[in-house]
Amino acid sequence: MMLFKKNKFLLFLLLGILLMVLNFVNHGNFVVATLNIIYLGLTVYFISLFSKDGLKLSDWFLTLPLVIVPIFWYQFTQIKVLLAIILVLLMIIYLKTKVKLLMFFVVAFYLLFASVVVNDIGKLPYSIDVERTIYHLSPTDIAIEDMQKHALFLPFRLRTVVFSESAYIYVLLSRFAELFLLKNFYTILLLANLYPLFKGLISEAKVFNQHKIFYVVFFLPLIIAASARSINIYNAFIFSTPIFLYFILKGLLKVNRKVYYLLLLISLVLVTSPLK
Amino acid sequence: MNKLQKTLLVLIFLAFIFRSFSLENIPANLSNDEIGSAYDAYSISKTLKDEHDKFLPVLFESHGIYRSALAVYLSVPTIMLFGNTNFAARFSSAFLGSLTIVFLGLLVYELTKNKTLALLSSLFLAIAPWHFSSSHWLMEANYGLFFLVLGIYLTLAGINSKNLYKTIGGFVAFALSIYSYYTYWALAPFILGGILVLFRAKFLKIKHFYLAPVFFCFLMIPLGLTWLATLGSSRISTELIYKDTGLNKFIWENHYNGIQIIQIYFSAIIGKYSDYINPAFLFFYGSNLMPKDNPYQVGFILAPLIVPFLFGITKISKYFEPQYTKFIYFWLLISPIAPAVSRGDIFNVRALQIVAPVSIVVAVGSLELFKFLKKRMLLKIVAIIVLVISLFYWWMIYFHYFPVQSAQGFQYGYREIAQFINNNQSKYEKIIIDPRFGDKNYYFGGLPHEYIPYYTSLDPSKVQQARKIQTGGIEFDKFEIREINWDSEIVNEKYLYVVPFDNFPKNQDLKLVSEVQLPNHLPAFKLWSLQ
Repeated sequence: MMLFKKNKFLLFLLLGILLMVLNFVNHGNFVVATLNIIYLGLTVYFISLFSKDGLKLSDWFLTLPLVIVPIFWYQFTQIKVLLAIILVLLMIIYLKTKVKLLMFFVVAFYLLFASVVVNDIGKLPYSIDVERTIYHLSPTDIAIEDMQKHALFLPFRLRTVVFSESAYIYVLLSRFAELFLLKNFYTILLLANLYPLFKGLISEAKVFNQHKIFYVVFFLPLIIAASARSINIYNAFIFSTPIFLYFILKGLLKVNRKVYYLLLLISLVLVTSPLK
Repeated sequence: MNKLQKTLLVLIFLAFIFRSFSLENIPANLSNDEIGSAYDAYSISKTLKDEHDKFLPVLFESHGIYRSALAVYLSVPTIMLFGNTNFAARFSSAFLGSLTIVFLGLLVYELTKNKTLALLSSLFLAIAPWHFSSSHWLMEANYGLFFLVLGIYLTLAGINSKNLYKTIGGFVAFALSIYSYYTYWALAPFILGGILVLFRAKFLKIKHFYLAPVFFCFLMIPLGLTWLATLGSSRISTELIYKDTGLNKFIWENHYNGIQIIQIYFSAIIGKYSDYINPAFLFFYGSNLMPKDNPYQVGFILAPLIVPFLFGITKISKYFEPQYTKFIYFWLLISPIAPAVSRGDIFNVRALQIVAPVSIVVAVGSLELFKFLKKRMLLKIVAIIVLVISLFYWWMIYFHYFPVQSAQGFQYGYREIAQFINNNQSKYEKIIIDPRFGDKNYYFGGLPHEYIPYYTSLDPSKVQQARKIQTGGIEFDKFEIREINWDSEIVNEKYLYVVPFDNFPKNQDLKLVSEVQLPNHLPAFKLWSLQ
């Protein structure tokens, strides 16, 4: 362990190899594996720039949890990881530039475009496939019509206002809330990492208020993901990962290591379980 | 008491009134489980024996399994008082559901001495759609929740004030929650254990407190003995995850080894736990009042309250002392454990207990949110308007659409058939009831052998002596409950035949004497006779 503390390069090299192995075991695609490693590396760099008190990555305990985040060894298509890498680069520029307002809008527009592509509701060059969204879900339309028909206790005009397509907002919010399923989080981040994530969120939540861009990076892709008819949880969270990683890294400094190891063991049981 | 507190008190009082409102017709009929409890309560009230001729049972046999007893016994006085109606069957649930609201407020006040927080906690429980619905039904889980909240309140108040009677009362309430619903077999001991661990320093100091666990164990003896006697068929045995047919099929088909089987069960439990704390389930569709794809579903708690919930989850320690903060988190985390280890799909009845700690967190979040918004009056008004709109939608769904849409699932029609029988009983020598309902494409199996005796106030001793018919079904008094196949049916002049609406007789001489329609005016049952 002392060797790692002295030689950060060796530590990073070993972790890089471990991540490559995990990628290979999971999907065997070298290009995607490399892109995933670049995405993680850039994310860590972004967080180190962003953190006021810097990042303490010399300890293997503070770095290993990053490598075992399943979203970094998932078989994305190359274009999706590339889009995520571009997002991190844009956020790095946002941190370094003085024209923050301009970059804020660049990031927001980029996310709008990229989230549509990543969640398979649009194609390059930009076009939205409405049939792949929740708008025009026939059961919802039928239900709205049915509710209107049976709302005889309301004046006719009011019926079409009370029971209207505004119901899609409720459907969208419901699907948005569904993304925050515990299972989704332990699938993409690993159960053990939810402990430092929670600790980090409690102590660092105010970062959302200090940097409004966090709201955009976190919520916009998820709202677009929620509007997709079929949701792939990895695609939905690919752009939010840097934010989760920030809180995990911050939380790791505050966790009880024994509890973390116990959760790691439980995570191993879950990850290798035949029941997914 | 300030103006805000007075307003909250009025709102809670209104919630009380609403819980007793339209108990007779919403839901449209007593459900499968409700009629089981209601009929047993009626039978106990007349003969001290249940439907199966058992003297004052501790667990009630129901459709081949054994269910908890307390809901039945607590319905006995109301059925004796109000007669065999839906109102009588449901009133004790509505009453205890209302008291749960009060005791949750008292508990929060006991732990925080903050009146506004206590009243807000009560208010959010009062307007929680799933708690409201379960108080409107004769639902075992609702009785369990009342005794659980009462148990927590009395135990903590007793420990705080060093009052032996309160502490014993708390332990007794925990025991009664276990007698109420099988979910509490796991939950109540966990919570009681949590309290004893968290407050052990105070509890162990006072020697006479040791009497409370003794009382608890003593009360558990009858249940324990009955459970051992019915091992294998009590719900606690039949509902556990290791009995899950889907999971067992998956294991059996893939020939997994011992370690993999443990992993599979473990993953299934964690997955279910996750499903029960799914924010969409809790705040958007968990009440399951409307068909699956309907966008106007409601959750356990009204959807806009997800915002204060998220706000409050990290702020509990601002209102509760460290030990109580730990307890609230513990309560929140432990509540979905029992349903998570149960078999089958996600079932909202098993998860009712989650509403209590969630209401407390929502109350904390609301206070914090209002502080955060400070003088932004407009945002506060918008927040209140959104909440009122969601209340309006929920009431429309619950009081107008739900009774109509769910009527068939609640076996609507048997009460109306019983009314016809009550008025015309003397005309018929025998009444043959086909227990199927629905339509020819898919018939469900109904429970007319419970509904009809309940609504006709038939002497329960006649049902206790019911005989099996050789060709299938049962008979008691002048009733035969069996499937009617018109091809082989020998039609008798003085018989009344009750069949699903689309089971048309072949005999042209049979006359339609009555038709029962669902609330949406679709036919449900037809009554035929030669007379």
